[in-house]
Amino acid sequence: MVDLLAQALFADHGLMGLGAGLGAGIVTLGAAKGIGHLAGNSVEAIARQPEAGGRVFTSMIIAAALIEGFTFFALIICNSIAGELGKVQ
Amino acid sequence: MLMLASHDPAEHVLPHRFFELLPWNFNFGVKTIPILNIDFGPAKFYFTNHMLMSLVAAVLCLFVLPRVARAYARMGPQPRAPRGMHNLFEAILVFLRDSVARPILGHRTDAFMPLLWTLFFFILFCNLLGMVPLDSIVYLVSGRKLEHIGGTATGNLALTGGLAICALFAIHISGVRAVYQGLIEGTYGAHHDESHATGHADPGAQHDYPPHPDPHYHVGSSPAAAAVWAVPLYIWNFAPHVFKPGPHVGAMTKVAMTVLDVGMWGVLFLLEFLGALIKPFALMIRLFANMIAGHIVLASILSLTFIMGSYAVGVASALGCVVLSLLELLVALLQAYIFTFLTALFIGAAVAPEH
Repeated sequence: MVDLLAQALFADHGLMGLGAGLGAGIVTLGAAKGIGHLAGNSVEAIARQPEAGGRVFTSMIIAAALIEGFTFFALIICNSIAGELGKVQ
Repeated sequence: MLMLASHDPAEHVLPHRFFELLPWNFNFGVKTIPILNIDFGPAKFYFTNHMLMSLVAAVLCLFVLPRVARAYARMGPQPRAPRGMHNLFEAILVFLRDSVARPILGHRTDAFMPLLWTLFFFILFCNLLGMVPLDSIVYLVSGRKLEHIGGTATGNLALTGGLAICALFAIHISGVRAVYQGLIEGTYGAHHDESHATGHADPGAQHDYPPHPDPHYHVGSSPAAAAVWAVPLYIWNFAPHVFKPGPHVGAMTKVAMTVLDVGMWGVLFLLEFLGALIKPFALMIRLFANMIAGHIVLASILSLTFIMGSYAVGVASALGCVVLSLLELLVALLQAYIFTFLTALFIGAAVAPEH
């Protein structure tokens, strides 16, 4: 009976789609939280010291681009998994 | 219209083949490498639209940048304020040299500026050429005959991989050359810390060489010895000895500290060695992913019109695409800047590891 259950769950590779979709969502959650925290702190820093605005803004942009770098890397992995959904059957 | 109705967003970003470049097959030994578009075994070498766009960007660089350089050469003894295109490029070039490279590289800036400027402008031109809908324009103007003349060259993992390999070579070769120069001049291993300023040896320092009798006199190695020792010393510099015991500790403490030191050194060395390979890999993935993501989202939103088949959806998706394209322009500029900045950072870390 466990056999039947396992077959029902895993046979059509639908879990692959679930993994890809959930993965993309969680990756976006983490990235949005990180960049939001970064943006909040940098805006506060600019408000405290407007003359340091240029340097703070530059550092914020660089850090945001670095975070987005590996976010997109994880998104590409999710996309590759989702792209194999039609092929595995 | 019927062809566009089955428009796959991935088709917008994948490279399309024009003709075969080399007439024989390449057998990689693996059947499929999906991300490089290799399926069913032996690969052929095609000329793709991404290669074409990277050629166009390179030719554009080769035409534009020497013109700017010649404007400087023609200026003569009375430098005037630049005008027009010269002004635009001078703003970017001076910004890259003074705000990006000079704080990182210091007195070595001029040696690396050609590489950094070239990287920036090649990536920028590739990204911006990808934003121009050249393939659609040529398709419509040629009466629906010429397809896919255009695309984002940096949206190709092979091209960004090539740029990352350039960065990898630049980082490590410049690091080895810095060690070589230091060995030849005899300044290798000279630490510019407080002990030289005050003249007294620092009692907490973890060094085990005797203090220099005269800090301005250095004995250099011969070029042959320096050439032999440059690469091993550069690799040795990846990880310092963190817990090396000094001369005034007891025997048990010395054993414990030595074990801890060797362990930490091993972990640090492995991490730094992997990092030396992973950092250019991250450069490649970052640039590729940012370009690809924007174009896939643009193509998906545009294909929404054809899926729904309604005019209202068409207007809304066109407006959304306009806004997204503005964001894409920002990302194009930003990613070129980030690639250049990170390459400068890694080169700076390789040539002056103690800072």
